[in-house]
Amino acid sequence: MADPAPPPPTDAEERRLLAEIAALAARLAESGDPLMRGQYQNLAGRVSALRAIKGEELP
Amino acid sequence: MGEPIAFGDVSATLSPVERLGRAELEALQLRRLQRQVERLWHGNPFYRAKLEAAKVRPEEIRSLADFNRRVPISTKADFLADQKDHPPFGRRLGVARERVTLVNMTGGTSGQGQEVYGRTDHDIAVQGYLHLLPWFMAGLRPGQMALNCVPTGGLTTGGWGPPEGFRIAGATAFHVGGTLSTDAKIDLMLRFGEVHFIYASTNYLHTLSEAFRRRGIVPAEAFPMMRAIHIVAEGYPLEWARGIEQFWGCRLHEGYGSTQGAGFIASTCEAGVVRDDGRRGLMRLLEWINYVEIVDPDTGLPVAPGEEGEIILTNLDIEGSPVLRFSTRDRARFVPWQECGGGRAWNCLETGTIGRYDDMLKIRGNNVWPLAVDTAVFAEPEVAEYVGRVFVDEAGRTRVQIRLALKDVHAGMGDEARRTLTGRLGQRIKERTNVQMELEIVARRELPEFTYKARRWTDERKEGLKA
Repeated sequence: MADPAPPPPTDAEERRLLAEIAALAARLAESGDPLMRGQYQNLAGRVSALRAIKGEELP
Repeated sequence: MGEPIAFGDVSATLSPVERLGRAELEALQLRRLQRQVERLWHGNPFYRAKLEAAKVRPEEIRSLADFNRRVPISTKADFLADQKDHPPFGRRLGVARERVTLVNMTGGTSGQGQEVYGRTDHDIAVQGYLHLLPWFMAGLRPGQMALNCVPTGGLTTGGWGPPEGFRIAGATAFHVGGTLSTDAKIDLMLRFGEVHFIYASTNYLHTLSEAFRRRGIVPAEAFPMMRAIHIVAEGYPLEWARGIEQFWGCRLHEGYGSTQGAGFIASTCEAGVVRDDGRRGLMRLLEWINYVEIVDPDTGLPVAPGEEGEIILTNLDIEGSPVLRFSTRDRARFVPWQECGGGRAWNCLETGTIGRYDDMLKIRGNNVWPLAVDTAVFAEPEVAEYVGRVFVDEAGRTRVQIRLALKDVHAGMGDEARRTLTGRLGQRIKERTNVQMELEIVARRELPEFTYKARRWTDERKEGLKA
């Protein structure tokens, strides 16, 4: 029997995951590959906006 | 007004920010305001100079009231002067030019010049969200089919925010604005057979509905899956909104937005533009992304609940070319959050009545708002379009001429009925504006078709456009 699907992340977990992705995206955006750098910057911008939308300052 | 129309339930779980109580929301606004002012102090020479001139430092903003009272207003003229002195973006860009991945400009219809906005990747994502959220509140869900009737691309925020909003909504969107004729749009809708959502200017929804009527198609029957129609840009009479909801078989929604706001600043919730008791609905201010004050334009003081005032706008989370206490010259009726219900503690604006202070015409000592004439004219279901002209005749008298066109199905209206219509309309316009206007019915082809924002009025006098 397959394991049951994990419960959806809580709001606090979503905010924590976004913070982790933001740090990773910021690192990727320092890439020396110009083909990828713009795309990583786009990813970093998207994640920082998601953090604001999700209410990064909330507990 | 008749019985309320029963529509499908589009309620959804509110996000954490939407669940905040008023005190918590204001605390969040203050934190974001403080962060934004701090950021601008260190990285935006335009606002640094403004704050220094007003003798206010970031650490002195300890409350929303401090911000309202101490931070100076910015105007379009300030921005244009900044751009002229520091082309092309002005010093208010506030980020390295290399971080700008989208350039938006205002339309330039004021005649004063176009403001330039440089947006970062972060800003573009926020722009998309500021379109998605209003449509989500209206009932748009992932996987649904959507028709975007607003022209896309170009330099305006209205050309870029909607495609981004639909993409992140997970909707299957057809961007038909400005690319297909009205009949071709209808053909496309019929070809795909399923449309859940339409986004259009008020004026264009009017044109689209007229075309459906001309072809004898009732959208409520052809598209029973339609969830919502969302309009933008212009006011309208309540009678028109009710008629649209019945004709299309879905709720009508409205948003208020601008380039300065990076998208929608306010939008209706699930309830739409008409309340169940027949009163005008409410647009909820998306207050944790943009901070909005409604003030008396003469005194700068906040208006009381229920009063009209000017919208003063501050971006809380925009990096490139942000606005801080921007004087929008937009006029709106303020409704406090306590009257709005629905679980969100957001202040509201009344639907259908947002106008421009700069559109006001001074006619024989009266302040005449084009919106007041719009709502009088379009309360008549036979009228398709109109244009107005203010001029001085050979005898030196100021006169106002209104040229009306009837919908095609009423084009055969007899002379007596036309006289009755123009007489009734002239009387209603006089009651609402205190100005006697001369009405004439002309053929539909003699009047322009507006595909986005309608520009119905011309003022041919040498002076007097503004009060």
